[in-house]
Amino acid sequence: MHGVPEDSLWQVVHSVGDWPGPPAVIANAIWRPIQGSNLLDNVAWAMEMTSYVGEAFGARSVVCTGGPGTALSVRVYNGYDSVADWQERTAAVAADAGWQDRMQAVTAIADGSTLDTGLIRRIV
Amino acid sequence: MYLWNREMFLSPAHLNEGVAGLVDAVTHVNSVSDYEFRVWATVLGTFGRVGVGSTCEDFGAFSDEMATRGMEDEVFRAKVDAVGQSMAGNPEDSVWNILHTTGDAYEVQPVIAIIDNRLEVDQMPGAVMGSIDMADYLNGLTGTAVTVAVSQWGTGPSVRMMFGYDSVGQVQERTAVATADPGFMERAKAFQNDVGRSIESRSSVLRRIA
Repeated sequence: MHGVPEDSLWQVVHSVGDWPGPPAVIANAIWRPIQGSNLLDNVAWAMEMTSYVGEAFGARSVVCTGGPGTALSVRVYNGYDSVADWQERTAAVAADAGWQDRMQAVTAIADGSTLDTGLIRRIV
Repeated sequence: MYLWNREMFLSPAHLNEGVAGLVDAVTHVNSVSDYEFRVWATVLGTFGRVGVGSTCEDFGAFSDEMATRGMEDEVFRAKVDAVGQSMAGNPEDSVWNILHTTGDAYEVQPVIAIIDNRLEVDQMPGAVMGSIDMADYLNGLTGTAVTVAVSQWGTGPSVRMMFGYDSVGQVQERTAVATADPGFMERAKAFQNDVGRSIESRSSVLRRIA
């Protein structure tokens, strides 16, 4: 190990799409509310956004809130069949006006400097 | 077109063997891969920072090839284990969607300068437009090949400008021309006014070593 492992516990508050099993690839985003905003506004935004993308594009998404160690954090992760599936769906969503409007709106309540994103491949 | 990067930091105690090991690993990869990988080292920025880069049309196929190599190519795995002894930390991967190029941006140039701006989501459209305008202007002014690319996953919302040069001397010469030019200064000021302050901004100059 190069450092100390980091454990976290997340409460799933919203799920969109079919999850027949663990996906092959996950895109993950974690952020905290901007000062003056609150967690519930961010959770509500994430739930509405994932529902929209699920209905419009068939995306599989989960919204979580952080527990001890990650308090006041919101997490959204999306499942994909492959990296190619992620690439194709991400390009389609990014070109959608509804998605763009929602992404513009979130900047009023989310602290962009805390945004941590990643794309991970399941190996087991 | 996508630009894939792996950024690494070599331990100060193992700089030479780290560079040699990395070049050896990348040379092997280039002998078996469908893609061409290049190795870059710092001219300006943190010394010991090295990068591996490649371009691809389909990142899914590219990523799958790398994953397969990492699991099945025993020669590659041994080279990775060897060079890992010289690393000061874990590599950082990113993939950038190339939106705009000027000049011979896809040709392999010996020296590149990179500016990365991490932004809020609502700053992205203005930053992209401003960067493209600046790229076209600088290409007209100095002939510099410029690439504008964006990234989100793994980096947060970010815009990258990448400038290609024949030499470090050309970086110096063309930077002096640009910063003395009123049109460049106007655009730089307009960019700042229209886009606002970045969450984080980073610049570097790199030299290709393999």
